[in-house]
Amino acid sequence: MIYKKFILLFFLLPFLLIGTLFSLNLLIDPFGITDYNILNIKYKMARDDRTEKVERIKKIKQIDNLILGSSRSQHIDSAILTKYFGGYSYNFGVGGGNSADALGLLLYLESKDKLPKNILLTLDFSTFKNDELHPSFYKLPELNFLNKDMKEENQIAKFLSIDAIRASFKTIKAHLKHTVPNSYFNKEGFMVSNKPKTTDAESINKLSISYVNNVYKNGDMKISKARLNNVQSIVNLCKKHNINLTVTLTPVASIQYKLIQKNKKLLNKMQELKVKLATITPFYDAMIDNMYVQDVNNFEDNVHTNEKYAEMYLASIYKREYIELTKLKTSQNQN
Amino acid sequence: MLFNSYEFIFFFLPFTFFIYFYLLNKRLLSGAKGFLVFASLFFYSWWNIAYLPLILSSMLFNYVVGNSLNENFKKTKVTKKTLLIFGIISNISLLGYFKYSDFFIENFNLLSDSSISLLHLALPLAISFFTFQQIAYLVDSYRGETKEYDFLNYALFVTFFPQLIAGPIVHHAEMMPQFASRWNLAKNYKNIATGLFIFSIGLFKKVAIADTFAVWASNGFDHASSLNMLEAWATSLSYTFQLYFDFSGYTDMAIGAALLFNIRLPINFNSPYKAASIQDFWRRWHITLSRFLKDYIYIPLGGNRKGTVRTYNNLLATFILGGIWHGAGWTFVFWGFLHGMALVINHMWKFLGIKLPTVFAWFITFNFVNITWVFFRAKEWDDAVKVLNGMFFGDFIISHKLLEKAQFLSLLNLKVGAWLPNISGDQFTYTFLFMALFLVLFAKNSTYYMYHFYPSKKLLLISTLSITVVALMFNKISEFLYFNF
Repeated sequence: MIYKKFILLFFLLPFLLIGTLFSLNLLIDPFGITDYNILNIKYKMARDDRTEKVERIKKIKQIDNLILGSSRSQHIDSAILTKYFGGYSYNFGVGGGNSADALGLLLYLESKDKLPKNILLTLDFSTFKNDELHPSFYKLPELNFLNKDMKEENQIAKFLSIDAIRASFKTIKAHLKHTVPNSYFNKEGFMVSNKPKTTDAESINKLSISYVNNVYKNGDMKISKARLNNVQSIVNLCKKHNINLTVTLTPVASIQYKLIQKNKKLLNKMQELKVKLATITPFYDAMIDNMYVQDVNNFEDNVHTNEKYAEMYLASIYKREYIELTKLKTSQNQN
Repeated sequence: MLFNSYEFIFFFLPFTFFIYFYLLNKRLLSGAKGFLVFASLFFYSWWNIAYLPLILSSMLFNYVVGNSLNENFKKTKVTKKTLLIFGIISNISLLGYFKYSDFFIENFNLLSDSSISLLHLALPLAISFFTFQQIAYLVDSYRGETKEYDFLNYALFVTFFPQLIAGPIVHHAEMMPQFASRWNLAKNYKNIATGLFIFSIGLFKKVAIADTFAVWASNGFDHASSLNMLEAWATSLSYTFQLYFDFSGYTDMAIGAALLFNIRLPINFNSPYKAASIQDFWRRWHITLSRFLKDYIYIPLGGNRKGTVRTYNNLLATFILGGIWHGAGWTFVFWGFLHGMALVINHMWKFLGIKLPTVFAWFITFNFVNITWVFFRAKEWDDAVKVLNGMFFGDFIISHKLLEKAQFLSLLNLKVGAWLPNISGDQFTYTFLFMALFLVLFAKNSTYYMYHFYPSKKLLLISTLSITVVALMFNKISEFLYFNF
């Protein structure tokens, strides 16, 4: 009899526990999957920005101006593009985002007949260092144009996973305490920071040394053909649909730039990327050393610029009022 | 079908269990066995149905040969021994064709400077296991230790799904009496409770522990271009624990699933990382493979009956073959050679009669096993050299935070930076490694629970938490390591 009882409880207890966790996550919905916001939670604390932004984009009927890039572009306020071009703007800057994420989203929008009129494609040097893509890229069918089966995550995991529970607890804690998170994405995908991060030269220096060693591998890297091909595909797609495409290489703090310059191997790689990119499309090169990247007040860390910089950056690109950015043109264009 | 998949846990296992006992309840013994064979073949075909004819023909062939070898063998022009050799060579040829063709072609090309194209054959799932199991059956039949006249029984012995894919490698004589026993024809709640508990532990080992270590191990072995000392040790130790928890987790699930059907599979692991000598380690690690190698290779080679030198040669040969069994590559051969050599040294040491303190003996054994797994895991020699180089000659990195707190460290001229960037490790990596070490050294193993299981609140809590954690991590399903062997 005791064995029968054990068997019964063996199934019953996990069922109850798992069921409770699932219901809790469904109610809080930290990834914003469902449209039912029963608890009227204002700020969701999910950490998966790709999922959140893809889900948001699916709900938007028409995007006129689109920012594509990584976390470095998250501080570009989409409202500025609306000011320049009118219509609706959205910032699809996602952690570790690169040209594959950008192409994936554009192909998805093309399939839904929702392509924008203007695109600002921001590219990071570091995202060209290898062919690997962010795991979240694969798990989102809307982005994964490579159709590579990563078996990474399924829809149930949005409500039943350690990440979901962690996000739910953070979300409900913030909701009950009425705390506004330090940063969150607004409806236009722009990262709103209530307590903007600041940095100093010493922190930038430490981070830059680590970055050069660990991210750039001291120049032991190959410029990814696959990522360059993705840029080419984006250029082709924009030509096909008559979209106004603007491409830029994102800035790094002057301290980091100087470290790159000191390392011949790494410097060559950076130049290699710039030349190869220039043969594909004209682009605004913000990865240079100038007074704006020398000013630590424009940075949150060694590579992430802040809102203030972003505004000058866009003005320079579209209106050319504030700062001078080197503009590289392909030989084809020059011809 | 994976044990750690929704389709196995929620559909296949319960469905098979209920139908099997329903048929037994209706006194349809052959029907129940036939259903179990059908279900097992379905389980096998789930991956790739193309290999179904292969396992069926292998089964039929060995059944016919095995039957011909039994005591009713009528003397013809062919002797019993010739028939046995024919059977063994046929099995090894099948295994060799699928598993070792490219290895031989590559080496032949290298030696003869020729360029024969590789065959690029996909390795049929479980071929190493069902081939060894059937070779054992042929030898046992030849020795008169077992016999089987019923093909259905034989098919059940080979295909019984809990042990089909990655063992334990079972003997015909230890399995078939269990299926025949009338005590095993009805549901046994003690076995079901024990089986469920052991299955849940195995599932936890695989999903929560092995797959966590897999990330660091694969980053270190496959992706990093170089490793500092902490990264290299984290990489090798991660693999050491990944392999153990993955394979023993699989075995636990196999034992647990088999127990639901009142079948006791032989134990395969007995806390191997507690071993205080390499001989002790091989008595605890993959026990059914060690048993096979001993009974069907080491002893037929002469075992320890033909003098000391011959004993050492036999040990070395057995372990090199054991290495090759795991995979077609020189790294596996070298791994087998190292273990064979260690056993030879172990024997010599015992002969000298010097006893090491247990903790020291354990330390040497564990580190030897850990270091040799590097060759076992590395896809290329260069990867093994990279990890070993990092373990012994890599930079010792200290973090900025540590340097700020203990500034005297700056005198040591150590490199400052992130600890585990190349393996995507964090502060939890070494915490998890120590927790895993604690578990393998001090926790009771599943073998204990297999024989001493008694329902309690503690065990209920363990299984509830295990299942809940697994459910939360189930979104990342991966295959078992031993499926590759």
